[in-house]
Amino acid sequence: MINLKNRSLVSITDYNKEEIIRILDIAEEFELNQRQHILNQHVIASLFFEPSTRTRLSFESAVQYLGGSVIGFASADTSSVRKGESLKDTILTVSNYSDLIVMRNPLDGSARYASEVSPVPIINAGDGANQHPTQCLLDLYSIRKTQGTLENIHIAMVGDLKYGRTVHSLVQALSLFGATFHFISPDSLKMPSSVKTWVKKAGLEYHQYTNMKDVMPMADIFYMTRVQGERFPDPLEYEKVKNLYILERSMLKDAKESMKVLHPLPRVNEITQDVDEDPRAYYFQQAKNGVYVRQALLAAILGLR
Amino acid sequence: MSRLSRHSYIANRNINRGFSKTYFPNQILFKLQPGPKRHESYTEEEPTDQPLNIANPKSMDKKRTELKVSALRNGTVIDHIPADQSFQVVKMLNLDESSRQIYFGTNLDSAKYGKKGIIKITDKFFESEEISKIALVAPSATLIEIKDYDVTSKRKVHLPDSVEKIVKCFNPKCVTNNQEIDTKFYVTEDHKGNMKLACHFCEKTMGKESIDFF
Repeated sequence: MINLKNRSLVSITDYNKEEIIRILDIAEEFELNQRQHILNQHVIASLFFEPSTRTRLSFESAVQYLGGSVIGFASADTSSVRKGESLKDTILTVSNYSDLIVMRNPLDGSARYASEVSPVPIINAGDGANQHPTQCLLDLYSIRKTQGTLENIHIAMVGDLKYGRTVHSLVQALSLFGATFHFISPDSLKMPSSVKTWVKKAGLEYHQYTNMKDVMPMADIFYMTRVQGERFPDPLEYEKVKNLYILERSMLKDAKESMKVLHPLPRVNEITQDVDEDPRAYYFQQAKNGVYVRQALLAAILGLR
Repeated sequence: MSRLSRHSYIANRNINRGFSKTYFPNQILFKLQPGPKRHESYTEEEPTDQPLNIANPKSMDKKRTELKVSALRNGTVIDHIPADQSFQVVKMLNLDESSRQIYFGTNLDSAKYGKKGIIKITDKFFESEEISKIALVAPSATLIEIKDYDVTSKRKVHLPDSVEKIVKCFNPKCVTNNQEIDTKFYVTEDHKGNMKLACHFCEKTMGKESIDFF
């Protein structure tokens, strides 16, 4: 029996294949019956040291659908961090008031550290440019739901593959299921070698392209990403690449009927509005799936599933 | 002052001055003599006043291939250091600030490694944390411990599975560079077999060229 009680989730690699599948199965249950008040008398701390819309609101929504209470802050400016409190002290203090901590922090590795000092489990809601495992789980949930399986899919990843943390985690997770990867990016935003090494070590194939067109007919999933200006050390480099990959509806004519376009959101201009009308556009449903997956995680880690 | 002690003096003086490579005469060499099976000894050859032909060892007679600087009574020899890492090892071990007697040689011919470096430190025996440091920059190094002129241990350094508290993370946004947290890295390899350090916290990997010791 898979038991995730009190198991923090910092990186997607913290959970093995069976544990990931277990979370997705529980999420399916919550999709069928979302309002189950199993978190009565539970308090969840939501510590967002930097702003977030989707992740914070979907976590808080997940807690409330399950009947729990949320405490916390939505920005470091409204916490003791502003007074110079260390991360350790904040975590140890808040753990006195809650059963589980959901944390987003701009420092890479902050979630791992928090999980090691905290007496209550931690769910990483994004630690800088490092990991965002709940996004990865909702991506996996969306892929399984639309393709019927996670095994042996062809996934195209487009855009900022260098700085985009969601694609790195997704490659690691899909490597457990035997995917074939198609990486589409400009040379300056190529997938890091550490991620490609991961694919090789898993005995899987990856291919690199600079053009979306070549991959369109073979892809089961088109995973678009935003080129994140804030991650670029050089603003000129950002200007050069920000408009290179824009998906338009006309480009989908060569795509499979079953193909789905995913995007972690927010989008800027990398998917034109007309794609929203195509049945292959799936990014808004994908965001909705995030609530089911986060409900599943809360329930599993608190030992209620 | 004998030639050997003069060399020792020069080596120490230059190390203390922060290493000017050109100050090191390349004849500052030493070699361990194989001794009795159970009791290897470290012996010294009479010094020569002539410059030593290390570029063509085959042309030297047997005796001249065994030349060495003064014998070490107690201490450690670090041999088989990749020549391009010799100065890095000295810096990393803070030998440039040490008051011990230290002999140093680099770009020495080595049948096995091409060029190598060698360091001999009196009255110094390394702790495991220091040995891990040596292994990170000189994974081919050999450590030879000498007590009362006898070799008491001779072993290759080996890369540990992980290193803690000795290396800084190269990622300025890593939590370890922004909070009071001890660092920890896993020693790994890329697909070309190059050694990499993966930060336990931020998960970024760095190569040997980015290693910065505390």
